[in-house]
Amino acid sequence: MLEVLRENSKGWLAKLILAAIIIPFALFGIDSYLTQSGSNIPIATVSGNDVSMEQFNKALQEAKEAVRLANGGKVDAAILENAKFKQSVLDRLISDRLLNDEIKHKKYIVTDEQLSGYILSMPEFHKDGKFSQEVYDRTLLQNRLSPSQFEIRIRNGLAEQQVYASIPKLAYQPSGVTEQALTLALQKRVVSVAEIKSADFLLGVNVNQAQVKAYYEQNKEKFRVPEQVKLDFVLMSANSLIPSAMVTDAEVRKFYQENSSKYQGNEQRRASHILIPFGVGATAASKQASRKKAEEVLVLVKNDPKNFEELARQYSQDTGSANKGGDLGVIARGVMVKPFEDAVFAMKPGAISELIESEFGYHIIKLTEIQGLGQDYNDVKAQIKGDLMYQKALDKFSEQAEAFSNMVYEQSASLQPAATAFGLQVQTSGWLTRAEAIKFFKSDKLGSTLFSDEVLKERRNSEAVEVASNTLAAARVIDYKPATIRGYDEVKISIEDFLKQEAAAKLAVQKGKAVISSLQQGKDDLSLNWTAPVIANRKVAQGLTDLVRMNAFKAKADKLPTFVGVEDNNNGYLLIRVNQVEAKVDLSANEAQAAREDLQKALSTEYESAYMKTLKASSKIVVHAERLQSGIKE
Amino acid sequence: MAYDLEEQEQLDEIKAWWKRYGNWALTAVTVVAVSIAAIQGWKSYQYKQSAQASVIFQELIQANDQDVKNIQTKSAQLIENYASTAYAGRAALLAAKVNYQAKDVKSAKAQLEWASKNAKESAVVAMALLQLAGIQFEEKNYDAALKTLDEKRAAGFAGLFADLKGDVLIAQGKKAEAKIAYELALKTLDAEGSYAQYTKYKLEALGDDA
Repeated sequence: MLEVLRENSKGWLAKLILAAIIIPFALFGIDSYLTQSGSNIPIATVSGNDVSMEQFNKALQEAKEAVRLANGGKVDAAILENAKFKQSVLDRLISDRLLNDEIKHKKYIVTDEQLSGYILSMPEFHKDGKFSQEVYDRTLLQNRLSPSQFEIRIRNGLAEQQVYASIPKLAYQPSGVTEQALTLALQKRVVSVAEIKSADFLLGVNVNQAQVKAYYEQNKEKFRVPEQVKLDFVLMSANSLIPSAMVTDAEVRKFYQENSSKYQGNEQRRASHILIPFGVGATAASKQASRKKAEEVLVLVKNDPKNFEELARQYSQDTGSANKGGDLGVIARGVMVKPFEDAVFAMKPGAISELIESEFGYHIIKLTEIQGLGQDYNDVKAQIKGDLMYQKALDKFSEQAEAFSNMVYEQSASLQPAATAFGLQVQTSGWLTRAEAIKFFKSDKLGSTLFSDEVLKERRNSEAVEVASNTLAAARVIDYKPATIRGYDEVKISIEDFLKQEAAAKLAVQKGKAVISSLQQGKDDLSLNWTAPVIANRKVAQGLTDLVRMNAFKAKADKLPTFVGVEDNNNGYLLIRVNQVEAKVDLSANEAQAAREDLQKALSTEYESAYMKTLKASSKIVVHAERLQSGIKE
Repeated sequence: MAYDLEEQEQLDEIKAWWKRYGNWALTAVTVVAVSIAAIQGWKSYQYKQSAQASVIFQELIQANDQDVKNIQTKSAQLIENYASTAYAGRAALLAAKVNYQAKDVKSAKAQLEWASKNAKESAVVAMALLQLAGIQFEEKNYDAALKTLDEKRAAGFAGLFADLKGDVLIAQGKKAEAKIAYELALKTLDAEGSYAQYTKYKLEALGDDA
């Protein structure tokens, strides 16, 4: 049988077999090789499919941008670098994957008709109230998306709407169930508070030196001062390069012209007119007669400009527009005869023109609206110049960033050469602990680098780190204080105070507990200073602290008034009196309606999270948490 | 074409093999071909079903909750004609909701029961059971509610199930058991969501002596 194959080795059979081997490779081979290579190591695996480091970093960048945008650019960089933020980004990626898998498995489908119907209805692509292919193409181009990429996104979005966004619609509880929760949420209690203060017992307490010393010896760790450094540092940012960026007027004008469509806009105006024609081949006399007539109308219009529409109906001999009160609709440049156009585009909205003569006759024009107003060169000149200067500074920054980093690294014994070369100032910090350094530079990375062997022990420059977008910082340690424990003499007074406070609090609590039990037996204590009773519920605090409120609502209310006591740290003991419980709630009141909506919202969110948990439980998810911190290159 | 002896022998072998197994081989090939065709056909049928159901479902979720008639008609279509799709289960829940709100509790229960047995998504089955138990609780049919809440369902909904179980147990006067249920609910409800807050209230209301 092999003979047959050999005979045909240059024939169709061999080709067929070859094709059978090659095609799967062409389809799957190369791609799967690529995904195995270095930068695509997975940070998580969802049901056998990897979430690559690259995808994670991209999502992280987008999330950071979104947070910056939402906060007007002012965000503490430390928040965006902390593990919790990164974890939340990863969680969202995993959820997206789970939803996508679920959409496939459960056959949630978005048909081509639904897809195109949705895109056609998106107002982003509308021009004059209709879908415009031109706007669609341009918008996609601006966002660097091909139509097929964009359609995939929209399709996924729509499918997600069906499978996930519809969950809150499915969430409800019969009113019998919500009633109990609402009644509790809205229950009111009349509460007042009395305080037994530690401070009142301070005079009665004694703390001797031996006790203070013993506390110091047993709690030395509390008095540890972490290691500290003093730094030289240099900042290089695009902003610092702006003053040296030169932009000429010629460049500004060129930019304006190249982007003229953006600035000049697509101005259109809406106007009404009254036409008094003089006909084709009019004689000077007939023209004069028309003019006289037109002037009379003009006087009427000027006397009562608000009545323009009515007058147009009455006098205009342009039959097309007269019965619409003279309205000609929206006019772009190049549509009307020249004298008419010039007049319309020179007017202010609401103004009425003098007589305008055109080949048709005399016009009285009223400008009703300006759309898509353009911007004059002089109006935008300063703004363009600023933009261009920033752009140049950015270009220069990215040009110089690498040279700066190299110089900091190569001439590692001082920051001065780099500062001189790039016209920067070497600045000096005060004493900083590691945590303070991280806060100071708003960068985990630089803060930690400073305490590495290279920088701390060998006294080299740190590497240049991007501490904010388009800002590099490099630092070196110029002085160092190792971690120490504060001396006894330095801290003994504060220890003594603390111990006195503690002892006084103990006495206050003792007293408080005794008072509570006598109050519960119905014995009043006249020395107590009760606050005026307030009516509070679980949402409306009425000046009660969380601690008081929580305990006031936990208090058993079968006998009123009832008393509960609670320790308030070292401040003393709080006595809480509940005078009255209003358990009956009018569930038709406005207040109840709002509470019902809150509960419905809470239930919807709970449904969503239960749904996600269900998906998670039925898939195999592996997270490489160790890569969450280390693997991210800024 | 002339064959030498060896080739002749091989050719004979092949002929003999064909004579013996030929029919079997042909049958096998046919069976494979038919099954592939059948699977493809089944897949394309399923796709078509889902695609049609998707269009109705999309309209359903965009419908106003007040538009009871519309929701009932559309969900009935999905349940009757597209029961094999995931959309049907969700439609049953939506229908049950509007029926309950329109005071037609009997239909609502029937739809929830249907969804609890037929929905293609385990999460939707869990939602159906939870809502069914809620109605049984409201009807003071506590034993039935507890039975419904004990049915096997998706683990993600454990918190909401335990919470409702606590409500039922309180109604039965079993405070100690209710406390256990609420405590379990607090462990499994979304710690960052606000629903857990209500469960906390309920637990607090039981006081310390339950």
